[in-house]
Parts: sequence; C-alpha cells; structure tokens
Amino acid sequence: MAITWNNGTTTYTLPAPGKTGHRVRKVSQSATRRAVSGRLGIDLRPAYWQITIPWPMLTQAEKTALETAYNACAGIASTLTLLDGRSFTVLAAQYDFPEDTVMDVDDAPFYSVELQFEEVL
Amino acid sequence: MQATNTAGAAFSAAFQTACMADARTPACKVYIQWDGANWVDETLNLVSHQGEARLSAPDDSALLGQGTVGSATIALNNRNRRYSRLASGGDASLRAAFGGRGGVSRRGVRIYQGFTVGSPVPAPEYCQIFDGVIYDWADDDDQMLFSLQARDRGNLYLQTKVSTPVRRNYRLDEWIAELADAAGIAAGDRSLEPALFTVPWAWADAEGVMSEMGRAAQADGGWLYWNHHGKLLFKNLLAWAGQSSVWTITADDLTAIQPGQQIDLLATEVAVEWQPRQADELGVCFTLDERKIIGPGQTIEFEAKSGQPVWSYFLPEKDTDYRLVSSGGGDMNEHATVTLVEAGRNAQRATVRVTNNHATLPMILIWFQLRGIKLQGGPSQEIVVAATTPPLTGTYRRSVPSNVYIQSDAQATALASFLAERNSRLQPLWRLSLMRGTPAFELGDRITFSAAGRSVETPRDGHILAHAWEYGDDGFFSQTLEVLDREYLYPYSDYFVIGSTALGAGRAWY
Repeated sequence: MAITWNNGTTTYTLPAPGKTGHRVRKVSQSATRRAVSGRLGIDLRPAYWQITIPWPMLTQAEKTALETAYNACAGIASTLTLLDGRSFTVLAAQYDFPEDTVMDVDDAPFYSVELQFEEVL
Repeated sequence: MQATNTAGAAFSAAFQTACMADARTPACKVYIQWDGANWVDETLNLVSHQGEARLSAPDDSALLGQGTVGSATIALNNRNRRYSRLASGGDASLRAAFGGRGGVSRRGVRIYQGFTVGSPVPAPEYCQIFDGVIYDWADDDDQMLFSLQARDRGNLYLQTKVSTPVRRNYRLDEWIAELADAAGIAAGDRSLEPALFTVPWAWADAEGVMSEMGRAAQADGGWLYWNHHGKLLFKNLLAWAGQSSVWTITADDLTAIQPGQQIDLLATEVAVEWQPRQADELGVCFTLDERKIIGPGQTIEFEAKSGQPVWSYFLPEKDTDYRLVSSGGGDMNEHATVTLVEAGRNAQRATVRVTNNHATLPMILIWFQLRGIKLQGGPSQEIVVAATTPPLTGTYRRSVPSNVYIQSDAQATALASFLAERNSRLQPLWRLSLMRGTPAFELGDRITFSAAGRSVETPRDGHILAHAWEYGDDGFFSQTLEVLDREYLYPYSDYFVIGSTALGAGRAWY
C-alpha cells in the first residue's frame, strides 16, 4: 500500500518512505491550571493528530514527484492516507519543504525530505 | 449574573456545574455583521478572543457616572485570505464589505462563551459576553492572522450630538431616556432604573449624547454603561443595596488574589457644586442679522440660535417681531405666514419658517426677532460636607466637578453627604484571578469570595467593578475580576429600594 495525498481534485501517490515508516502523534490542546489551594482545573479541547513522514535518499525523480504533490496540496485541507490505511484530513504544517542533498560517487543527487502534517479538526 | 443562555432558556444545571468543574470543555461562538445586516458565524476561523468590561476607572468608584468603554480583541485565522480585501482567495461578500467607504467600521460583533455539556450527547450551551461594534482591524500577512478591535455599542453614539427643548422637573432617568430617544437608541435597547433625583431644568444644545447621559447619571450618583447584550443600562445609587450574593469563590477557584485600596479617594470633606437656574422675564432671544429674500409662493426656513436656553418661545407677531417688504418697499406682512417649526423648537435653537403667499411679488425679510422666556443661571454655589470621622489629620477635600444636572441644594447635599462618608475610609478593592472563568458574570454582581491560607481567611462580599476574560492561545477560558469590597458601602441592610421595597418599609437613604 502506498501513501496518497488527495487535494479534493487529484490523488497523488507519494514515494515510499523507506523502512523508517512514519510517525503519528496525538497532540493535546487541553490546558491545566492550579488554584491557590492546589486544586487542578482542566479546560478540555479536542486533540489532533500530527503526522511526520521522512523520505530518506529520494532519487531526483521521486523528489520531483513529491514536490509536485506538495505544491498541489499544501495549504489546502486535503486527505492523507498512510501506509496502514488510516486517513486524515490534514494541512501541511508551516508550508516547509526541507530537503537535504547528498551526492553519490557518480555525482548523482539524492534527497532526504521530511514533511509534517497537522490534522484539521 | 446572567440567567438565560443564548437560546433564551434558563442555564441548565450542567452548565452551572461546568462553570466550577475540575474538567470542562469550553465552547465559544463569534458572530460578525460584515454587511451591517446579517450575522455571520466566524467561529471556524477563531484563534482567540479577549476583552474587558468596566464600570469605572480604578480611581473613581465612589461616584461613577459614565462607565468606561468595554472592548474586545478577536484573532481570526486568515489562512485562506478570507479577510484580505485584495486577495483573490478571500470571500467576495467580505471583500465588498472591506472595500466600502468605511470598510467594516462599526459593524456588529458578538461573542458567546460557554461549555459543551449534557448527556448522552453533549452539546454546547453559551451565554453572551460581548456585544459591540468593530473599531479597527489589522491583517497580519506574515502570520496569516486577522485581528479585530471591538468596542461596546456606545461607540455608535460617541459622535452623536443632540438638541432638546427645555424640560422642567424631569427625573434624571426620564431625562436620560429623552436624550437616548433623541440619539435614536431604541427603548428596547436600554434599561433605566428610576433615578433618585429630579432636576428642575434640563436641556441639550448640540451636546455629545454619551457624555451628557453620563453627566446625568453622575448627578444622580448612579452608573451608566453598555452591557454585554448591547443594552444601555442606568443604575441608581441604591442598585446594589438590596442585592444578594450570586456566586461564591474560594481558594479552589483562584489562581491569585491581590488586595488593594483606592488611596486617592480618601478625603476629610467633600465639596459638590450646584448651579441654580430660574426663568427670566419675557425678552428677545434672537435677532436676525441679515436680509432674506423669499420668492413668490416660496417658503424658507432658517435657524434662530440663542446664547441662553429658552424655556418658552413666543410665536412671531407681525409688526412686533418681523417686517417684510416688497422690493419697492411696500408692506408685505399681510402676505406672509411666519411660524416656528414644531420639531425644531429646542432650548437654544428654533427653526423659523416664512412663507410668501403672494402669487407674483417677492418679499424681503428686513427685520426679525424671536422672543421667549429665557433661563437665567445664578452663580454656582457649593456644598461642603465634612466626614463624621475624618480619616486623616488636616484637610483633604475632594470636589465633584461642575455638573449642570446638580441644580438644587438638597441634591448637592445628598451627594456630598454620601461621598463624605464613602471617602472617609479606605474602600478595599480586590483583584481576583479565577482559575476557571465564569462567563455569566455581569458588572455590579455581588459575589462572595475567600482564599483560606491566603490574604482572605473568612468570606467577604463585594461587587464586580470590572471583569476581563481571555480564551484561545493557551486553551483556557480565564477571567480576572476587580471587586469593590461591600463592607463599608452600605452600613444598613434595609434601605428602601424604589420599585422593590414595599411602601412603609425600609430605611431612607440620606
């Protein structure tokens, strides 16, 4: 199964993230405060999922495919489906597309990219 | 304390429990009247809101008069450039509103705050904590945030000037109602308690309506302010006298408690100025300084302004008050109708209407005067009342500035006596930082508070002078109250309250 990203119009199949897989984390928005007596108060707010996907050592073609999908989906509430079949309505956080480049012995570039997504509630 | 939610029903038990619960789920709504007519729910883009409502400046709780302006700040997510006037991604209807001559200035804003409560299916229940208008706005392009600065409903009337006829023996709340009518504040948008004092003479001549109503409230020792529902409220000096405590706050509910006092209010005596007024004899109050030409069959109107208020105008009489001639100098008085416009008769200005009834000849108004009974102001007088038990050695006099609605010895004496006692001791002031905000609080509410192990071991009562709230960035709905301690406000508990206490019962106030 592949990771897909749908912006409401087009479904993009993203490169396989490699053996590192992806990281998902449920982020609490709830806040706590303590009264002068020591009593604790909690104001609850819905938690949301934060998803981080690293793509180590992408070829230039794979990186271009990922960037194309990113350009079409970033900033739009879109559907991200992960390797395990779970899907989330997400925004690509902070609009970043960080890439680290290394060159192999033949001077061919390889790119490591890590994208972060935040669930839209 | 508000009693009903935004659906118009009494607050549910679950809502009241949520106000003080250890764990609760805050919910809020923000509505904006972008086009001046339709309320648009902008909650989906809400990042945070905060605001403040206040009865008085911190150094002046003894004679409040006009409340300070309530305000709110709302931050909205502008991710899709919804609120950016020139961005193509924005909303077309909003672009139209922002692009108008006045932008979205003075468009309505409402904030509801509440909790998600109930079972088996929890649902949000709200109460309204702010009703006002947009004052200013800012688009943070980098952060993609749009923020609105809002002011209470009084902002709509800040520049409104009103003129009225002279009124005699009006109760001050009736006078405030007349000013409100003149400004276009609908009867349903105000709630005025009966005032304690009647003012012998009252009038307005192109006066700012908000400051004038504030002066009238001050002359009664009362408060005038706009509440969270966008209503204009007037409370008389005894509004708090018979009030019961509506909420109890303990150390479990406070993150901080800070005692203070209003040191600058201390006085050994209080001076109140009053300004006597009396009707003068019939006299000339306006003389026309120019000639006016009226064509055949034509009607003109002009304004006759007087330097002094006129209690009663005399209708202009031909030969005595005006003379109209033809271009050849012939008498035209018989061919003219000269009168005063009923709606234009105000204290210091009257609209004069002259009609030329002649079919062919123009006429010239070469002389005109308006007679009436003017009001004469006597020299200001002052009542000075010393504190029964002075708080300080030496003389510390606090003066109530000149107020045109303090016109009698009795009124000035009552206010001075009240203030002399009120200011003869320090009035404790408490700043309570609440761990859990309670959105239903209203200004003036009597609450009971204590903080065992801190500065207040045993429960005290006080009235909310100001409350500030914040909800958003840190996920907490928090609130800070400024509370005037009640211990020395009313020495007795059985005052006669107009409209509340039965006749024959209760203690008279001063």
